[in-house]
Amino acid sequence: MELDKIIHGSLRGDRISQKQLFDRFSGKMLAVCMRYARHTMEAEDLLQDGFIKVFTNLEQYKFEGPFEQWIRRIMINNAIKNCHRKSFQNEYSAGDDIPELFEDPEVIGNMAELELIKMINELPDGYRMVFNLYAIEGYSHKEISEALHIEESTSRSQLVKARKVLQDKLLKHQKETI
Amino acid sequence: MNSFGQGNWMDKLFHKKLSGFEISPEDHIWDGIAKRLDDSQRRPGIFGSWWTVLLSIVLLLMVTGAGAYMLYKKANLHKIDKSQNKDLPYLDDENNNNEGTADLNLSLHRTIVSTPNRRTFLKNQPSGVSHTKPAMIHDRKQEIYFQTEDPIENSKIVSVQSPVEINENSINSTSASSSLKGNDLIVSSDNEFFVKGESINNAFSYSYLPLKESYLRKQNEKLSSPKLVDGCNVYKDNKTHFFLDVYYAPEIASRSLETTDPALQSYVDERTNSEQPILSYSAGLKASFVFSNGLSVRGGLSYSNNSERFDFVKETQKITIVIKDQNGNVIRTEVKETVIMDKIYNRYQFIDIPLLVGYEKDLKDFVLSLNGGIGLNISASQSGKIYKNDANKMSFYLLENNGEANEPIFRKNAGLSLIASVGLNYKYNERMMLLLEPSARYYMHSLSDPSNPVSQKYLFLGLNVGVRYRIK
Repeated sequence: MELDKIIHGSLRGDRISQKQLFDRFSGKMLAVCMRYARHTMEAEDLLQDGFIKVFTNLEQYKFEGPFEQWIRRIMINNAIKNCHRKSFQNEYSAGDDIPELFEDPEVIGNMAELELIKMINELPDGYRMVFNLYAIEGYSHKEISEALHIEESTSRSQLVKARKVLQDKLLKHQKETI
Repeated sequence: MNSFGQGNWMDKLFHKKLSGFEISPEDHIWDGIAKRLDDSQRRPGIFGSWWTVLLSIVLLLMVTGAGAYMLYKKANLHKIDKSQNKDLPYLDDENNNNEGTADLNLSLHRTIVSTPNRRTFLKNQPSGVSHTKPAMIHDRKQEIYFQTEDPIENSKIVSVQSPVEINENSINSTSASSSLKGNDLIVSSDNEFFVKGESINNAFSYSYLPLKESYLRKQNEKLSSPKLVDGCNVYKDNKTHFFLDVYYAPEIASRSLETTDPALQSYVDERTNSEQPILSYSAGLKASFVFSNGLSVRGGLSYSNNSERFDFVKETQKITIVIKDQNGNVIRTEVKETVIMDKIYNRYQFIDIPLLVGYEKDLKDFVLSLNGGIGLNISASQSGKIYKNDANKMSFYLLENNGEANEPIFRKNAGLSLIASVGLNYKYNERMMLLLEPSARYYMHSLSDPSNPVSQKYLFLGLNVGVRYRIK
């Protein structure tokens, strides 16, 4: 299998194989990093750090399960570690889910992905982390609380607030478009 | 995991749009990663590999240990001198009040007293043999405490009394020059032996005359079969010795690339920049004869390895970047050329016969060794590759095959080398010395084939560490 060959080459320290591995996954992983970072420069730093960790810990990959999942997990953990360096707001809100103003997702279906990412970037750190982990990566609140060292209730409240902020942004975007 | 399908409509929207989304990274990101990977691989190279680190630690311990041992010995000797001087208060008085004679008197007493090592004492002052020294006689009553390991002499209090009457018939002196008058007599506390001294025309003569036959016999046995003294101090027995050395030397290689053709200067610069020395070492065996006067001749076999890292352009890639607006319309396209680098480790190996002459000086616990000579190369081999001298950067000479059939790059014999070394070797025991020997080796001729217009010469600076074993 071609990917296995590239991974084995990277394990040997072959720079060509490492470059091929980077070329193959860097696009998706940069998109992941962009969601967790506040701006492009931070995302690029996360991508660099993440790939260094991938290459230096490649022997830990046991060729069990999709390689993309393994590499994505490294990127996310790296982003979480980066987030730990900043203070994390511990807010609690018992607010309900945001009312679905956009019953038809097609209304914003044509929005460019980069615009959605920009909206996520503008979220406060805590909101952004929780929203990414819950909504896009599919983590449970329990997993998020363990990863971010926060209470589950905090995770829930951050998610609600993140959704609220994003909804406002989407609404604003819709009005501007129309 | 949460249940994606059952989640909030906004979660679904973002998940759908972003989970598989890709953004092409800019080139500088990979460049940064490659540089950091290079740095992390290069970092251990500062010390070479793990065994070089280990060797450095061993070296450091050896040097530290030798230093500590020397300090310890020095401190001990000072302690003994002080305790002995305490029992010889007159020495200071003499020094202060009568310098003209005190120096001589002091040197005489130090001949006896300041020698804590009995064996040296006995070697220098054999029983029944008379010694004459130019020294002044002092009519003073003196007491000297010996500290010896000899069962007979041990803890004996020896006194010097002057004048003392003795019966000359009881003295079994073999000294023809002795004409004993009993002016100075050193007598042990239990009268088992004594020393007779005299003064004739400002010359001092003294004899050590053990009375016990068993003691005399023992001393004669010692004299007839002299033993090595002071550890490995074989230079005192006036014999030629044969040694075998085994050594290893981490080395720093200094390479000079030169050409007389100005047109080739850029090629020389290119090679200089692309080939970096990373690790050199040599190891070998030497046999040596050390004569009684300290001169030595050595010969042996030496293997040397020099590794150089060659960073070269493996390939170039052209990347076309299409920049679009939000509606997918192409704004412009950019073409970037990326250089893919690679590296290989070139090896230069030498097998030489070193032929050295030297001089060795005994320094109590150490031996200072100075050596110089030549090395006769019997084999030189190379592996790896280097740039070819042409405009195309991606063509190489393969060193394993000595270039292509009609293009020999290097010679198979490096010719003569000049070798010099200065060693401070520690005497570990009677037969073994630990070598610590900075050395230099310079190959006088270029390693390049005569048809190659680029001269390539080497100078190696190293530190020989190893063991010197005395076979005979």
